[in-house]
Amino acid sequence: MSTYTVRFEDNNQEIIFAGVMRPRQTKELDDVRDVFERALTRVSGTLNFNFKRLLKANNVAFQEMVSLFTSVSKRRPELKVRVIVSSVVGWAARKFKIVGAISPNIQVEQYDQTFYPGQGVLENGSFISILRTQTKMTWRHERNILPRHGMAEGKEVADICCGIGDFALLLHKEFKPKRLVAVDHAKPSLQYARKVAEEFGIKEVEYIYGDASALLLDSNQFDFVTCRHSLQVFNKPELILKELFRICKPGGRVYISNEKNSHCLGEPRAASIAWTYEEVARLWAHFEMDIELGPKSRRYLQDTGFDDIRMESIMVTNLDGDPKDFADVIQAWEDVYAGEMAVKRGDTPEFISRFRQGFQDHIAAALHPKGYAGWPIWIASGRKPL
Amino acid sequence: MLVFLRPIVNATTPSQAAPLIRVDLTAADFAANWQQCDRVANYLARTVSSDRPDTFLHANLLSTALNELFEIAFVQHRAGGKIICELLRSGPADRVELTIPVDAAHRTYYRKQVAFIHSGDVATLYSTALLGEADPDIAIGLLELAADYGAVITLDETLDDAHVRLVVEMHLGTPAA
Repeated sequence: MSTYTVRFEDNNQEIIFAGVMRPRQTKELDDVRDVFERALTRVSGTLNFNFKRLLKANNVAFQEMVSLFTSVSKRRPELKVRVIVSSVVGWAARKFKIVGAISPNIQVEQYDQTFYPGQGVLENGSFISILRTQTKMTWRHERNILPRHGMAEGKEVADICCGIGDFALLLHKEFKPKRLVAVDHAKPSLQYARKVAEEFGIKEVEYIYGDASALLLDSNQFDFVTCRHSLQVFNKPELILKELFRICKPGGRVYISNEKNSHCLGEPRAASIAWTYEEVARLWAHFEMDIELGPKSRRYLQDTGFDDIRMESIMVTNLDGDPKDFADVIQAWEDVYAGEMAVKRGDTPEFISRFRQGFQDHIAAALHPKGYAGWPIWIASGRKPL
Repeated sequence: MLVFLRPIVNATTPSQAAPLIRVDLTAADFAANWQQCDRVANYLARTVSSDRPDTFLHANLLSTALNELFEIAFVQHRAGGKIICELLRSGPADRVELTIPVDAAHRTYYRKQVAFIHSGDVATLYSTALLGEADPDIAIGLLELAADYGAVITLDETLDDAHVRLVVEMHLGTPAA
């Protein structure tokens, strides 16, 4: 059974495989060899073999791959070969680990571990408690906003970049989806999500380990796809949007939320607060993440091909609930942004001290009996054309 | 023809491998189309993975393993009879029992392949078979399961003269996700 595609892309010097490759005989893979031969005439330096979207392959196919790698090392010994696999499909990382034995020029790279430059900090399990508080604060708004963007009971829903899964659980309780798949790439978060769901006796949410930019979910299968506070974390948000578009049914909607941190505000001490959040935006940009993405959502959705785009903004404030919750979130931001990311960037102690002060002033504004503190978020959704 | 033994249950001790699903395939029908290996492997893997922590990853790994076993049986079986695949679970371990109709030559083939897996360091055996000059036998799938999945593979020859049963037990090692 083979329903694969193979193509060569000149710009990345990359042979890209996708689908299922389970032939009975290697002669069924003649097109693979044709693509390989063409690639070999056009590459220099490094030839990439990209298997991250190859869902399945049998040993007949694998033997053909080994034959290709061997052929490269004999015919073009100066070429380096990079074999790119994804841990999401499982089999590839196991199967391909042996190919390094063919030649020292062949390297196997697990794509998932290198793709997200800034995520190491944010995928750290210590961030979990603050994510829960954030969801609690935003859910007060979103439970009313979601229906305006097409959410309703009985839909087939995917929550991509589900994090610790609390939003998925809230969706489950509030909207009783017919099916709810929640995908994330951070294992500590997923572990937590499954534990919470188990404790709550909820079995209907499917938590799946996966890569948002190369989802292995079938196309056109969800009525409503959510992706919250996540496009801003990736250096290539358009790749994720393309995947959200693909898995959404024609006529279904994709719902995204993102921030513009430089618009965080507070009174009193507005100037100090504003300075710090401008710096937050620069800090994120240093790590190839765009915490200013929120208002750009309309453009991103249009460029991906969505129509009927709906957009609104919310201001989460210290008046929404317990001001202490708001303060806790800001404290966590300070801990991660000033305590970890700024240090990692190599900022001076003087800068970090001033940077921290803005967060403390934001907290003071939130807790001040006459104070006001805000965190703006942009919600946007688009319809996949019929 | 599909025969469900019982609904999926969780066994908790190694001695209580619980049967999850069984499929009986007429050998002639099965061997008429190579795609059956892929189809049946996917069907079984998806069905029994539904309550694993990461359903997608577990199903994909199990499908990979089952497909290799079916492909071997596709090539190495006698005409007539049934190929029977039963999946069992013992805690985190998945156990596949594949009963294959054989004649004397097939029986010798399976005996030889399973003995070979146990004849030395399995990673070395697999590497040598895969990267050597000679074209690997279809049974390299068994070696790979042992090398990459840590599968424990045995051959049960006690059924009757006309069948052998390949028994493969694996911890598919769904990452702690």
